[in-house]
Amino acid sequence: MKRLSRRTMLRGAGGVALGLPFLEIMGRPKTALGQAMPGYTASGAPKRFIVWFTPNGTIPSAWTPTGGESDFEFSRILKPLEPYRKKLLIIDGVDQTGEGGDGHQNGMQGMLTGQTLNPGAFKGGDGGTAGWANGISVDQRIAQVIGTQTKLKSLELGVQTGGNEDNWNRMSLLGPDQPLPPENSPFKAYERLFKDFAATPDAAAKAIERDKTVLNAVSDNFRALQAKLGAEDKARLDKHLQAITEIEGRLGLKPKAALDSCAAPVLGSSTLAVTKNENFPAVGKLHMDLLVMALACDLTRVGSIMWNRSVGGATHTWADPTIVRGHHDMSHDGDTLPDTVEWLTKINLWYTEQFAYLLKSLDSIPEGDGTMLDNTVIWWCNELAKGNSHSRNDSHYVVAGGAGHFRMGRCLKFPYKDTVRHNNLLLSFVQAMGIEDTTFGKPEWCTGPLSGMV
Amino acid sequence: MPARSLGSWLLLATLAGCQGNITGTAGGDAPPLSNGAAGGSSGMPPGSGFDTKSECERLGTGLNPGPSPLRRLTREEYDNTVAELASDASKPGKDFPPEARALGFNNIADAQTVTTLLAEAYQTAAEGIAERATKNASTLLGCSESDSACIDGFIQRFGARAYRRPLAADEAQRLRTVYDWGKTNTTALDGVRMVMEVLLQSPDFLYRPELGADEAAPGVLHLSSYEMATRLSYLFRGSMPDQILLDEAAADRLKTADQVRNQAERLLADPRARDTFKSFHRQWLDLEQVANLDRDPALYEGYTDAIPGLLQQETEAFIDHVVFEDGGKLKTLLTAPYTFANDALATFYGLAAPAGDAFARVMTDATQRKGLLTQGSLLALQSKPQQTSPVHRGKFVRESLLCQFLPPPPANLVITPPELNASLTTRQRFGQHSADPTCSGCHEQMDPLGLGFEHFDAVGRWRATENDLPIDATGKLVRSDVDGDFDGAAALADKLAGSEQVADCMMKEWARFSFGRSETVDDACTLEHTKEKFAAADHDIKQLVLALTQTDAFLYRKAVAP
Repeated sequence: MKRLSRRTMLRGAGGVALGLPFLEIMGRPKTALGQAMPGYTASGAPKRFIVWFTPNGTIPSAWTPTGGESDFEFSRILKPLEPYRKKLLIIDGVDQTGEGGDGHQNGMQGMLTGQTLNPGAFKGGDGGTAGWANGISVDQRIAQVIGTQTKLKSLELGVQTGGNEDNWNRMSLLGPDQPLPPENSPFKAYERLFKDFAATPDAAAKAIERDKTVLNAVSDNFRALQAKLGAEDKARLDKHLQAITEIEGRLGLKPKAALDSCAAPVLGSSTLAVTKNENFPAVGKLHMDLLVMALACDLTRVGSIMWNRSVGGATHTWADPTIVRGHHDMSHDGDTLPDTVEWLTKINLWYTEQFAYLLKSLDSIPEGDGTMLDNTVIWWCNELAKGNSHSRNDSHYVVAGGAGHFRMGRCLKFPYKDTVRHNNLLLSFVQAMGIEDTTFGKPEWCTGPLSGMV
Repeated sequence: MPARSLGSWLLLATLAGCQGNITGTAGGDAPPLSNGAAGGSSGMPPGSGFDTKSECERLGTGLNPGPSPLRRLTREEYDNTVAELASDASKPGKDFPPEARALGFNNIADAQTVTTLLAEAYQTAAEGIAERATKNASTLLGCSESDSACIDGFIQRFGARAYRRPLAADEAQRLRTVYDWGKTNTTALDGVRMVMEVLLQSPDFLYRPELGADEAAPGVLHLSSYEMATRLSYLFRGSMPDQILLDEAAADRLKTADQVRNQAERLLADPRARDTFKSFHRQWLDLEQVANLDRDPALYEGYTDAIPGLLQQETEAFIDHVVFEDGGKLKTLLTAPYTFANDALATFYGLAAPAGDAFARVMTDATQRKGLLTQGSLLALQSKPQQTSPVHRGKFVRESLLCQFLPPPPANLVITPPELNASLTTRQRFGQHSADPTCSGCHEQMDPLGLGFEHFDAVGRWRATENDLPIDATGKLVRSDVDGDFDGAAALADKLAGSEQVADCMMKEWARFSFGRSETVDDACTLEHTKEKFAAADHDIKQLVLALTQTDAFLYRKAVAP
């Protein structure tokens, strides 16, 4: 394992070894009254936000905990999370009805945006067509504020999310009609995150100047062409130019500080076929390890892992060897088929085990007076509440960590179809990061932060 | 929206009227799609129908090119282009993020968005290409990388090929400034690399910008000959213009419809055109998905992991042969009494085997198996792991061959597909769909069509019985111009081969693929004229694509003020 001490990393970045206290190193902005700044906990640790997506709904009867708000009992599917009871906020019954597209498209595009779907050309399961959501996703809104100091504004990872881009396999958007693709290869993600990890200061500085010279010229060429084009084509190039500007702006941002646990992870054989069904669990684990290290090395503070995709057809033989059908295919079966219900329960249980692994990894990294998990908000979401009905009423969510904002160790149950607004939950996440927004997504669907969270 | 009349183009493009009893609306005329246009400016829902004949009459005799959105190179086009431009066969596009498939295709301009991840991938690819190209600097430059005139010559020469047109003076100057930075701060050779990196990330390379040339009619421009060379080249070669196209462009000889047609005919005869046709069919029929097939060898004797790849090869070899070696008729595609197989695949199918691994033409029993629809690739793709799926097979024919869409099951309907049952046939198990009025409204569009394929199992092999019960492969086609009863897939293929609607559907798919966009009412004459020529050529697919190059949409563009 290539391990770099915090001191080495500091030298690598600035050329000078510094001995600043932890909080200074992490770049906490100073405030006169000692108040926590946006993106930082009261003790000065950086806040982080992670979206964890699994598709095709769950089996509500095996998911929903029994008991009351704080004396709840873990359900069969959520049982593996029991060790983290005090760091969980289980949310049952938020309603995301949305507008536009088929059930999966609507769920997938509305889940993080709280927006309607724009018209577009993607065929839904309904034969109709729909496009992308009409607004920024919650993770990207958060990244706009807390992602400015890191090498990557955010890190989108995906486990076999499919070979083509469509509105079933994108959940993060930079803005209306601007989907962000998840990286499906842990090896490519590694290159992005860690390739310049150990460059010497002089070489790094020169390389940055060089890259800037190239990208400046590229940007000039974009602007020169834009001046000759009509408004629509100009707008197309604008998005591309923005992406180049962002790359350019981050050239100077190296891992400038990190926790002692920071180390470039060892991925093993790069010949692993990342799209092969049987490698699904292995790819997922590599992504989780990468994400945890990206946070520990402060390469990014916003991330997501998208397991499969909406309408995903992975055959989850690892959850139960008798499973021979694809996940989405089975998710359409009726509630009266015991085999399918059992298989779907096991698939969701398997996902909980993966989620528990991520929590364990984050919780094993000390930070400030707690662990990295404590300073992070992780949201496990699903584009549907129930697969066979495509319902998006009464969604089943888990929030972990809390970033010192949410009151954890509870299970919140909202009444059935009580129109508890999904957008309110999204706003709560934004506010949990210390961002003082008062609405999120389509304004008509947001009445304030979700009640009972803090 | 214009009134629809039977037999008009795209009449049944939307089939939202089949909700039947689910929503209480009786089947009937198709209401408009609920989800609007294909993004951008078209204003027409994709797949929504309009009568090309009457709309063309309404447009009159003027030039109506429709929109010409700025198109970006697809991954495949990028790879082909750098292979010719920089002799780099490493296919860097494989490392790009997945691309959007809209209207079924990856080259639809409105769906081609750019994110930081893609911009980073372009950057990484450009660095790699420049690095590899300058390993042999003397070949690349033909002179010394430190020599000023040498560099200016390289910038002009390489730049013109990258941009597919000569460079303007200020463009060359910007590149020279980049080189100078490298020469001063790193090395002259690195300066050359930097110039290449700029070119390979510039919009003039990654996109196909068109500014237009002289006015052809009020508000309508000819393309410049260089722009036309690029249109032709990416349509037929999937790559940058070849030397002949660049020479014709330099002489400004790509302006008239005849000049364009002459080059189109030449390019169509070039072996590279076969790759474009392969790409079209791969996307139209979703053939890439065949590789993801997963079947249990315990259920399907003789099935191995090699079979999906062989099935895809079969269909691709078959289509290539029909189009380029056997007359190219749509009818042949649907009804040819042969397929392509190698020894392993023929054995799997139980056909007479050619010797060895190479694919060869194999005659079939045409009462059982004829044409594209009876090939294992499509039959297996539209099946489930343990059983056939009449619903999906019917839906596939509806959507891909008849260009009709079906609405979804209602949002909160609990769907209980019939369970596997070893004492029933699939037809018997699916009986509920036709018996239950909640289902039959839509499923009468799919199931009776898909049940016609029941002689083929979920891996595409012929079967006389299922669970020891005889197969009944009778079916019924409704809501088409060739309605009626039929018995088996071969009879259905014959029906579809005689359908104007199928021919129109293929024409529309090719138009979308060729123009990189959805059709608009402005395209009525473009489509109507292509349709007439396609029919006059007895539905020869090559003639269809040539006809598309003779349309307003291909020959002109609207003047757009910057």
